[in-house]
Amino acid sequence: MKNGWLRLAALALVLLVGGAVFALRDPPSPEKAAPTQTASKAAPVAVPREAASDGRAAPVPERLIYEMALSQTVDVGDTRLVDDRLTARLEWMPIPGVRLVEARLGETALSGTGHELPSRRDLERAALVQLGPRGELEGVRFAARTEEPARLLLTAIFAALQHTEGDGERYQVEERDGTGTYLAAYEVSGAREVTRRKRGYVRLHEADGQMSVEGTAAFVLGADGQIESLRSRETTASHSPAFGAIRGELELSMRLVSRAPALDRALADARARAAAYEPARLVTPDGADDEALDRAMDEERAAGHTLAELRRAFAETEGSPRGGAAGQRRADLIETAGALFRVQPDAARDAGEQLGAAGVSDAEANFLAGALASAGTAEAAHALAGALGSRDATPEARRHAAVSLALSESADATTIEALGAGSRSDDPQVRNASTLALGAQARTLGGGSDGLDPVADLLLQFERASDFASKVTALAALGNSGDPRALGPIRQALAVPELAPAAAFALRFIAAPEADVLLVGLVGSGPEAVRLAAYRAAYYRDPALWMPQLRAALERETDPRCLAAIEAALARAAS
Amino acid sequence: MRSRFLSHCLAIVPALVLAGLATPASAACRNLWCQSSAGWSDSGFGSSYSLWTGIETKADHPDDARYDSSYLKAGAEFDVTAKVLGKSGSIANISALAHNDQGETAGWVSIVAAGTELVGAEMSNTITYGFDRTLLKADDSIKLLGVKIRLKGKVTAGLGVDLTPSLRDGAIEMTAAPFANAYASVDASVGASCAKVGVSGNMTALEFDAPVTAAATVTGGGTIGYSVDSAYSLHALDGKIKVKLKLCGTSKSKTIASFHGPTSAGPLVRASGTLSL
Repeated sequence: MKNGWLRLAALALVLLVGGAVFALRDPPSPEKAAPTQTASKAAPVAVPREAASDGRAAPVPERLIYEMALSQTVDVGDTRLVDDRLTARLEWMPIPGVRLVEARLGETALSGTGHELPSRRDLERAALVQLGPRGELEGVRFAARTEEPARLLLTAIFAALQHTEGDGERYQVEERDGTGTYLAAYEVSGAREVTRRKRGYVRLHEADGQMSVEGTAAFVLGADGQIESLRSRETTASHSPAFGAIRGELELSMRLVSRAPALDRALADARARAAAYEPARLVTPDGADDEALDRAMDEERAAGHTLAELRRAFAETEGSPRGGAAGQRRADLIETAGALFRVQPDAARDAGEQLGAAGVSDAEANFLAGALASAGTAEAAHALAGALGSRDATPEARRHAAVSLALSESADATTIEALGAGSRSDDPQVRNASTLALGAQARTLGGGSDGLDPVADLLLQFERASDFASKVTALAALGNSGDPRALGPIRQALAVPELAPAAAFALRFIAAPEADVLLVGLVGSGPEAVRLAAYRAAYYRDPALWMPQLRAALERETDPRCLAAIEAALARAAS
Repeated sequence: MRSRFLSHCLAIVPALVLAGLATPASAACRNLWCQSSAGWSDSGFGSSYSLWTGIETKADHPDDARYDSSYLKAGAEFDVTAKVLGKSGSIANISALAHNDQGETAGWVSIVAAGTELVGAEMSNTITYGFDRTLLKADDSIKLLGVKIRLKGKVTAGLGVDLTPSLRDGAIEMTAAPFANAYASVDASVGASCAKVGVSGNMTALEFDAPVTAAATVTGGGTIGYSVDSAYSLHALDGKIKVKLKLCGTSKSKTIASFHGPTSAGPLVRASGTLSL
């Protein structure tokens, strides 16, 4: 979808872990990784640098055993949706010569609600933790058969226990977890205590949006630099327009309970996994894309409905008051038919044929064309174009088809051709609606015009128009297009009092600085009708640019209609 | 100005202020016209309107030489906006206005939906323009430990105008009844095999109509005969939308919208008489 659901907010807790695929661009291959320091830095702690650089023998590969406990919750507003508890034993075995650690949970006890829990088999399958040169987490490598729930949980654990080396007693580094990149501030106190504070995300792995994180991790290190214990707690916060505040909390504690030399056989198995496992990732592949979810919504809405039944139901609302229950019903039927057309393109084609047939009433045309516009698909747009061009179609049906094409999200040669013919119709209403729709379709075409240039026709139409009404219509169509070539006619029209309001409003979509310059001049000195049109146009302009202009206008403007238009534009800019 | 009209102005259309976001409610009636605007909103849903209705004459521009004594403007126009899932947008600008400028009378009807001008035509015959269309779409998702819950919101509106004009130079007679009835709906889907999501309820964003009957004639000698009768009917931001989640063993419901907006109706300006300008 265009903007975004990825209101990141979304990422919500995932925060704790993840969303779309975020494969490391250049995952260091185990074979190429630096052989010396990495063996020591693969430990989940800061190993003294001397150990790797002073020429002494490399440390003996070890297997560290921790007891760990994790809890994570997600609250949406005041409703707790996720509440997990996990206890486990963690085996942590750095693989010499590479920046990989084989990590494996055992003796897991997991309870939770609100999401799909990982299977024990997945949770206890070995994962490979890929670390950076200073011990920071680069990603986690899983067996291909590992399901998403286990990937999410394990990535959250490994992200929480990462520790990045630095210089001095206080240092700040960038680290990454399953949600994004954050700043970690480390503070070394005494010989054995290290505290990490994380705050904010400087980048998110997925889309743009807003999410914050705050957390503290307290490490206690052994004399050799290994983690003896860790207590980590972090909170993530996001916001969704629909659900409101979303807050996730993750607590992790672990304690070293034993250590033993790593067996050659175990190391060989780990190296074999390194050759077979997936590339390192911090975010798991997203199982459900938006398109699939949207289709599921459509299927559910359209289930059990037919075009004939929906058309009949809409007809039954005729004669009822426009608002109230009948209005709600009509809106619902339009949406349901739109969903049906997306799920069943053949139904959209049928609707187009029905719309283009003889004898269709205004109400029937309204329903069929409205539903096709709601569908927003190329098939629906073609169905509308077919109806507009049908010789049998009633003028009402053709007018409704043109209006729907003006609102359609799909434009191509078929729709442009149909509207071009409609704009030359003998019926004045069909002609008017088609001309205006031609401009709107030009805007939908945008850069991908594929050789089509309806704006050229509209410019010619403006030039040839001999009366104010025709010029206003051409200006309105050019305004719908947002094409910068309209600036010429608009400048001419602004000098003509009868055309100036239409010209001012026609500036609303034009992506050129001159449009704003003209509008600023108009709101500052034009007559009321022109100022009103300019404020209405400002509603659609860049809020950052117009916010100060509108605030200033609010102070000096006296006309109540203009004031209302300013308020509306300010409200939109603030939303 | 000599007038014998009885003006019933919409005192204050009650405004519902939600979540700290307020759009001022006001109704200004002056001479032969009324203007009113109000809005209702929280962070997720909302609506607003702005209306002008009545007759404007030289009396409204006493010091502006661009308006002569035969100047007339009559009719109604309103703007409607809505918000769904945090996204605001213009729903409709509907205008049915007739002018008399220096003896020449003309009328224009315009319907702009979601920023796109759908109708822009001279007034000629009795006609009804009416369109039911989807005019605003928005989406929102949250993700809970890998389970994506996706919402799609829409505002679908029936909008248009009933129009009966009778125009000749120096004389305007018209009845115009612009209307906009906008409804918000939400669909939901969830991306996990062990989860289900459903949406119940519905929401009226705004139901608004403002019929006006206006007649004004330039009778010569700087005198205008007039008659105007305008009213309004409003029903704003009302309803409840609830999302029901079954998340892998946990059943929860979350009300994402709950409003009890105002319903009101009444006359705006009702007057007849003559004006000497």
